[in-house]
Amino acid sequence: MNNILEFKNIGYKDSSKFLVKNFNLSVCAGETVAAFTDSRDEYSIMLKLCAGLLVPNEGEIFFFGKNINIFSALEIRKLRSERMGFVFSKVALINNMCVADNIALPLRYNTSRTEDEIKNTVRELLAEGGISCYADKFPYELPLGVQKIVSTLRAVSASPAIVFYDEPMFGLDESSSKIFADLVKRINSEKGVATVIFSCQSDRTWSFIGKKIYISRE
Amino acid sequence: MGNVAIFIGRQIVGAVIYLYGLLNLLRSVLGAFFTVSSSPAQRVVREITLKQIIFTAIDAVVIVSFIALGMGGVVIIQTFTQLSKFGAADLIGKILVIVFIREFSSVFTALLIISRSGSAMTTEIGNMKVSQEIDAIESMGIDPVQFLVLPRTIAVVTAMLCLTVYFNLAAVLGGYIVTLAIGVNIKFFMFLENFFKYLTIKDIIICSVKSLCFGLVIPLVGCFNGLSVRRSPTEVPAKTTKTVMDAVLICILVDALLTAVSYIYL
Repeated sequence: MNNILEFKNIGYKDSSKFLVKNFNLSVCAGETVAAFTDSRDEYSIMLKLCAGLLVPNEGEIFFFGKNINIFSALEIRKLRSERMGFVFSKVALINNMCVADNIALPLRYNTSRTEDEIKNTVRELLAEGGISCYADKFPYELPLGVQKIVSTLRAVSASPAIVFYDEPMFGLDESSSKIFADLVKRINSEKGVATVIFSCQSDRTWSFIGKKIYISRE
Repeated sequence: MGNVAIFIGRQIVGAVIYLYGLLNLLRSVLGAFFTVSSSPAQRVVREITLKQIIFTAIDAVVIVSFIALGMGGVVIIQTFTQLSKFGAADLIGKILVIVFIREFSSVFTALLIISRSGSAMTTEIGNMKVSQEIDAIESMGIDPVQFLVLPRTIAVVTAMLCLTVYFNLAAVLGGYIVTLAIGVNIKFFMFLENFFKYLTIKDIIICSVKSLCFGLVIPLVGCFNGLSVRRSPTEVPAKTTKTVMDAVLICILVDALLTAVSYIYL
């Protein structure tokens, strides 16, 4: 199977100390991977390395066989808009936009789709996440569990090949965690989107994950 | 003595780095302006720009009206009573042109926009930075300068130009109302004629250039300080205060520079 993403001996240091060292990872199309770590700093760094927001001090990152370390800022931005989706631990929805506009943002900004097409896609995604009733609400009016679902729907709205989750269960209670994990699983199986989860919670919520790895500093 | 020199040196280096950052942001904004017109992003940028214009210009009309009417009245009272003593009351039109068109209208409008919109920009963008919204924007392949700074810059430049014109009109009206109140029986058209007699194209150019410059300084300072917030929410109020102080200082310096240049070269 072809690798979508490949980390080869990645090392990243903050001032003089290595926060990630000798990290290797490969993700194939439709695969589910969870990378566990003890520190919040590490998975935020891993996510930013994947997004090309940080450049590793050691090693190389390949995306569809291309080394993204040598990409220009514009090429990285294009790659992110077309092939990648990100879900952040702090949800990071745009607070002055309603739920529907948040989900539509990547489509409006990066694609030439018409407003009708965008509205249809958003409607379908909202139905898929079971949150159609929240379409006109603003993020600050929603419970955290719903915010996480919106964030996930926004990440998959542009049909990416891979979605990265930064500590997705952070702050969720047990029932919300289960609903959210079901959505992640469904997106993975029905849309064939590869899933990479960075988390420090190695619990049974992630029972459907195919590959589990542990990140170490040294 | 050595410590004072080190302190001054650090302040100068800090100011130079800060100005370099602002100019760099201006370069990025100009780049974003020319690339956005050929991309689908323009529909989103247009919508945000419109919202910003409403917030910065339309919502500020009431407060601008009060300040301009008040200032117009105050200037007329202070100058008319003095000029009358020397029989030079007909110079009131010239005074209005010099005080308002050349100086007060753009400076007062800028101070108002700094306190309302400049501070709001830093707070909004700073909070977005803390809550990872900027990271999320970048992760969607969206350029934060194009998405956040460009619409605010276009909106503030537009708002500055429109509000300055409005400020002048309201100040002249305020001046006329006070003229009537202090017992000078003059028709409105005569009052306007006296005003326009002294208004030259040079005054309009000076006023427009100042408004344009202030319109660029305010969003650049506001957005730059917002984007320089790192992780902590406690940085946001400090950066907001910095925005107000820096924007006022830079606008006054630019005003002084442009006034000097206009008297030397125009």
